[in-house]
Amino acid sequence: MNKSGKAFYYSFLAPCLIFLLVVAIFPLIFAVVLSLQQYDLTNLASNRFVGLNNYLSMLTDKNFWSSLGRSIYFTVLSVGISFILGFILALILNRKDIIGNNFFRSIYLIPMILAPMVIGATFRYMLNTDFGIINFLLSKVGLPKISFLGNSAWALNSIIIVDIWQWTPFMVLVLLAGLESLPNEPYEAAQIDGANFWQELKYITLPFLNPVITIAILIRTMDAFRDFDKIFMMTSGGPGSSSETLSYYVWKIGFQWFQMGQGSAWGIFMLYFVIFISWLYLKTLGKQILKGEENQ
Amino acid sequence: MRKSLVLLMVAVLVLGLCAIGLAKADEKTAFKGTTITLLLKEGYEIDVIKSYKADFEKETGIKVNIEIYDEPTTRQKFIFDATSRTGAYDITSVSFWYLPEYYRNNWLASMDQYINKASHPWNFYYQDIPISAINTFSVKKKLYAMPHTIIGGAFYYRKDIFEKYNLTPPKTTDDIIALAKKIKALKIDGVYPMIGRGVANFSSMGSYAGWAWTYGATVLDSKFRPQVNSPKMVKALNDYVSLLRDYGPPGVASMNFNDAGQMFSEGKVAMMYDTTGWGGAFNNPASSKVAGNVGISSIAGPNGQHLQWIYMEGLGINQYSKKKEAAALFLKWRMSRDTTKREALELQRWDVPNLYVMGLPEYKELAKKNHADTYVEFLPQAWKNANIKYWPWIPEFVQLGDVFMKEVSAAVAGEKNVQDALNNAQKGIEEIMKKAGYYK
Repeated sequence: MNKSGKAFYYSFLAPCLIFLLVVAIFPLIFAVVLSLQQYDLTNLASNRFVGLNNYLSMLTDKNFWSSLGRSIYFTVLSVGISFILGFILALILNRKDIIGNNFFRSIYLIPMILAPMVIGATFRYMLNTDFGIINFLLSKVGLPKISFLGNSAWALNSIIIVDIWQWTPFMVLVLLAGLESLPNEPYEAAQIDGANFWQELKYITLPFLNPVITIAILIRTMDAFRDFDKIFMMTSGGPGSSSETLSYYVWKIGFQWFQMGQGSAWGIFMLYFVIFISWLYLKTLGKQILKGEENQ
Repeated sequence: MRKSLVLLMVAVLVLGLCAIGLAKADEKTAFKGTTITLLLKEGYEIDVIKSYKADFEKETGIKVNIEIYDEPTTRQKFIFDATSRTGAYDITSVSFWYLPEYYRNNWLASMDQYINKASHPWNFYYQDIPISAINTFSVKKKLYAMPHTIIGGAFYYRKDIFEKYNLTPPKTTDDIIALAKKIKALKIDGVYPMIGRGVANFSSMGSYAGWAWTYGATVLDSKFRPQVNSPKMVKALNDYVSLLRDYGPPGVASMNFNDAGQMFSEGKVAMMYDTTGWGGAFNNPASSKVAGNVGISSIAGPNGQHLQWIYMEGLGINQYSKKKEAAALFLKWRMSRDTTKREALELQRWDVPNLYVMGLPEYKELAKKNHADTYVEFLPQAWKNANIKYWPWIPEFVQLGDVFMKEVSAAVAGEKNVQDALNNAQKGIEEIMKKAGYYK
């Protein structure tokens, strides 16, 4: 390619590169710079460079470890259960003999397209001990009322249940698309060999579906780890700190207390933590399934 | 000669009156064509702005844009606007607890240079606004926000329940505790004895600090050292946490002020301690099932002080606004006799902080007709009892309140005992104060 050809080529690329720089690269670099400073937006006079102090204080803060633990608990349960439920529903919807198949496919998408804030506000009322429909139904069948959001043992689990409700359709959507793209020949061959449903699932469906499963779980993991809206709307992190996840605590540091330096350090940690988990996941779980595929 | 003199005097008088009229008209229309943007916190005090801003626009030619958010978002928007110095908002709602923070950063313009106290468009008189509110929003004798809400502590109880079961309305905190036990023992179907705020953020702190004040306990001492695990505070919060945990509804630890108020409005609780702000809503049949059956009283604690729940809100002018004069004119309209009278009589806001309007016979009559007469009579007393000394009024209040309430909310949920919760809160607040440089 000659010089004028290269210039032409770069002129087309430039708008995208500039956009990427402005909306992604610059904020990231700025956040890293901020994380090395004491940068309090409500006390600008006190701002100064503090090196790695924000990171060190994060590691010695007990709120950091407890909120990280809750985030991991939230992510593992939410992603794990929504994957299992989503996979079962996708298998059912993949059958051609289900009546109203298309109707259910459409209706399952509704929770996913609702704004998380709206979901949080709605479930706050639905789970209310005295006015909520869920406790009303429980009492109608003779069960005791449960303080879903006011009891420390229930609060985070209630939010997880709502998250599963919201995001299982995503799993259904992705896994169903994967299932529909699978070739028929291996199944026909397996049926000739007398394979049952579980053998087909173990030796054909799961290995073939591996790339789709990997992507679906990866996206959900990243999403669940940073979930904030529902916690904000439903419990504000309480009672006490029983539903205070890392993302909620980072929001408090950054947007309630306006300690942007400290908040950036915690945010940068979250980013690298998610990258690390994703890398670990792709290197281990993804590889193991692929390895299983190769061995067949 | 005498006739000429009289004629001359009449002419001067007429001309003078015309001049005053013209001056008023000039003042009102001096900023015709300007647009001002208001950043408002949601709440009943802004209903008047939403309802009548078109009249202001018509009279002045000033276009008024309003943006309404919940309280934390309002603060966030204002802080981002002020720190970037864009002046996107000309006027902002200012909750009194943010004033130290806004003042330290010089984000609000002093009103004194923009509000001419000698002119009275729409019958605006500075002295109509209770002096306690003016003082709260003033620093070094300069006013930084025009008060439009004054709230004190109030104890509400269900008059019908008290009459039916022959219960005497409480006068002290000990009476409340004894009544909670009695009401629980009565096992009234669907009615819990007590309710209050329990949610784990700073917005609930006023309930606990206000209760503790009557036991002689404060969050910070005069040297800004935290005192939240002092014996007096532990005793006070043991009592109040027990009232909510043992006599309140399940889930009280996650209830904010709206949840608690809704429970009372729905007739599901017998007693509630919160702010005077609820009085209007509880007595409004459109929003309350207990309208006309709400008793209100002032409660004294062991040290003789009254229960506190102070809250004041004003409208401040952004330091970086380029339309400060137009904004000041709007504030005059907002708190004028003409506007606040409509607010009280047409929108039926009973706690409008304008002493002239509160003294009008038609206002008192209307309140009586709407079962709000007891509440209206109670308000001046509650405002008088309000004592800001109990409040940790520092720029770091939000962080301090969050840390305090996280622990106390856990105690309300039964996760830990009050002593442990307050010990943790003490450590957390000490760290905040050290980091903020109050001491080493």
